[in-house]
Amino acid sequence: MPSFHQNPYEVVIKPPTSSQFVDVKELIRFRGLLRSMSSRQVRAEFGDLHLGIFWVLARPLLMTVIFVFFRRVSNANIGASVPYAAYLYSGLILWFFFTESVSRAAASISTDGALMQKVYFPRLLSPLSSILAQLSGLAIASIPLFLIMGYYGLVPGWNLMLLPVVLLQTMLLAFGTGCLFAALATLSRDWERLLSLLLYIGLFVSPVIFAPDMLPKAAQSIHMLNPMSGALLGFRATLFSDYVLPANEWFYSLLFSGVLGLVGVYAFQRAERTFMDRI
Amino acid sequence: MEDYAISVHGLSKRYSLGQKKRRHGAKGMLQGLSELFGRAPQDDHSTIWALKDVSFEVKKGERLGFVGKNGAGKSTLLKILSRVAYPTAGEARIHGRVTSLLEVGTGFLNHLTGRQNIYLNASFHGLSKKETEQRIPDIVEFSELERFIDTPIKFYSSGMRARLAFSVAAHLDPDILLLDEVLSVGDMAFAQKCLQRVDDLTKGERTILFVSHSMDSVRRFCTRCIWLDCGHVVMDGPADKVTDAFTSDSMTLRAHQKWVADDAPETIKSLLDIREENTVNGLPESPHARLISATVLAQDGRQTSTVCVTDEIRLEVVFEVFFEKANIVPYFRIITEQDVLAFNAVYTNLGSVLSDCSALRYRSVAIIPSHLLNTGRYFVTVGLCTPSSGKVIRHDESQRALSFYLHEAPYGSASALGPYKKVPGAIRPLLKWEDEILID
Repeated sequence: MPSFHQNPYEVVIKPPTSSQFVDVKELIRFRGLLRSMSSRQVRAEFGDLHLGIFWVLARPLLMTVIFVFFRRVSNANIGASVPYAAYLYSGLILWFFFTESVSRAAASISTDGALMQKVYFPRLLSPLSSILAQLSGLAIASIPLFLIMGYYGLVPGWNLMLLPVVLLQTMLLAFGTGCLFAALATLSRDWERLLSLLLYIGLFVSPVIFAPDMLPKAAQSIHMLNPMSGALLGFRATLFSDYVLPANEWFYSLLFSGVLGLVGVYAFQRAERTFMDRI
Repeated sequence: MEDYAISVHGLSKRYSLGQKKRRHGAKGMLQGLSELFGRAPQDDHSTIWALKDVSFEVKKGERLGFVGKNGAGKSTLLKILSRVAYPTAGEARIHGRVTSLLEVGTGFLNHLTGRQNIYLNASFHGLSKKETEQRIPDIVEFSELERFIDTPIKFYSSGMRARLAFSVAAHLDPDILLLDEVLSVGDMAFAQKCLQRVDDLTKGERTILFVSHSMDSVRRFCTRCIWLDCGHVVMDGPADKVTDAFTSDSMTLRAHQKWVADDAPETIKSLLDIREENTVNGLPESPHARLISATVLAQDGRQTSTVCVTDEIRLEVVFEVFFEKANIVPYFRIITEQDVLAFNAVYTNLGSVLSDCSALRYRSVAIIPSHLLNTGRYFVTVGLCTPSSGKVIRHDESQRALSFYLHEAPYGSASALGPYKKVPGAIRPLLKWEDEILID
């Protein structure tokens, strides 16, 4: 980062104002730090544990086995247009990527709080890096996905090109939610409990283990209000060629993510300022 | 380009004391929400101004110290300048890259090794991995932690953390270095090394802001000093002047004491006339004299309450003898802060004007040589007596009438401190040492 280091520059320290939003230039200047913060978390995730990779895979794989078994014995109609194991597993890994990202980002002020009191860095790097770090888990978890897809002879179509877009949208949603709850967590621990409840229930009300077609028409439109619905369906559409991309639902999800991202960042910055003063 | 490194205008910081009543249930959660998205709390009894309208400018290459009591706002100021706290009002402009060391272990993570923490710390200051790699050998060497550098920080002692933190900060090549009480940790030899490094750093146009409770450190390493109290600047000037003023204020030092007003010398004398029948040595019973005033003087004769160990200390006493041929001499008792008698200064100037007193006023000065007393605060008891081989007759005495503070010699000048940070003992004379090589 040459601009930062070779040129002396001027920093103006002023009281924070609401109009002062994210300093994007500064975030770019600190991209090296973002990298090292993320890789630090990846190392913590896999370095300290002897079975790091196993723990990442165990949850979605075991749940897939259990739900596939249930469906078999109950002969339930899930409404998925692709083999259930592939549908379920792909949903689970995106869902767990989302929930892990949200909960890590929501805990960022409390985990990096000690650091924030000692050294200056753009505070948003903290939730941002915890979400980026989760990509490593997603990458590992997608290896069994490829095997499952190979087993069923599923191939992605041209929609695969949209995979990064869908992932970015999911990350934006996780970032907004994470920032908002990180801010709320500085107020009271009630919000932490609320978040874990939401994330737990979310698994069952989002189209992870079932497909929207299973639901009656009225329930379908309500269920699409959940911003993760569009993301989950969009994710499948980029993976499986014969899965239709639900454009409207996904754009709603994107819009929701964008708004929540702004609200989250605003709340995070407000909370971080007051949090620093409480020490 | 501007020639100042930091310029601060009307900087203020308000802290909320957090005494607000919290509601229970959902109402409490909503109250929190309105705090988060609503307006900031206004000035009321539950807030405190840690800094109020502080302004100053620091030139490039200046070494500025901050002194003040606990809660005076020194650390808050450094926090704002290192951007871990936001000001409430005012602004600060900083020209150049800042590295700050706020308390021990700046931004270290326990589960990472020393080396990993160096990388992390350097990346907080915007150094790339490559730039850090180049500096690692120097940092490790300076910290003297070669053996432990690949050990997780959680196994480090606090001194080791401090060493590593300082080593990193000192090698980040900052234009401005903010130090908060960092040199008070670690062993003495390392502290000395750090100070040396600070010294080297400032030679290259680097600016240093230094908060310390050790007046000696501030005096030795700062060219200028700001005294803060309750968030206000009390005094801003040369380091030795400001630290002197602060020391004498905070330790309630008393360089001068006066017992008798100049215009009322007759009062006690008339009282004495009554007792004239009871005589001692042909004179009335004591007192035969009384103290008028006592003062601590610096080598150059001005009144002072802080003296450098390299200077003489002059203790002056003015007294009044009531009778002819009274044989009165003054004495001083030097007492340390721990209430230990350092020494008794008995009068030895026999054959002087005092040897055959008249009923007059006298002034005596005892000169304590330089490099005799240790650093720290001393109390002086002053009195008048008639010396005799038998019972000493005291005529007047004032316990702890004066107090003064001895501070360390300026950096680089001879002192009996040696390589240490502090040497115990009431006195600390600068001795001569003679060495020779012995060959069997």
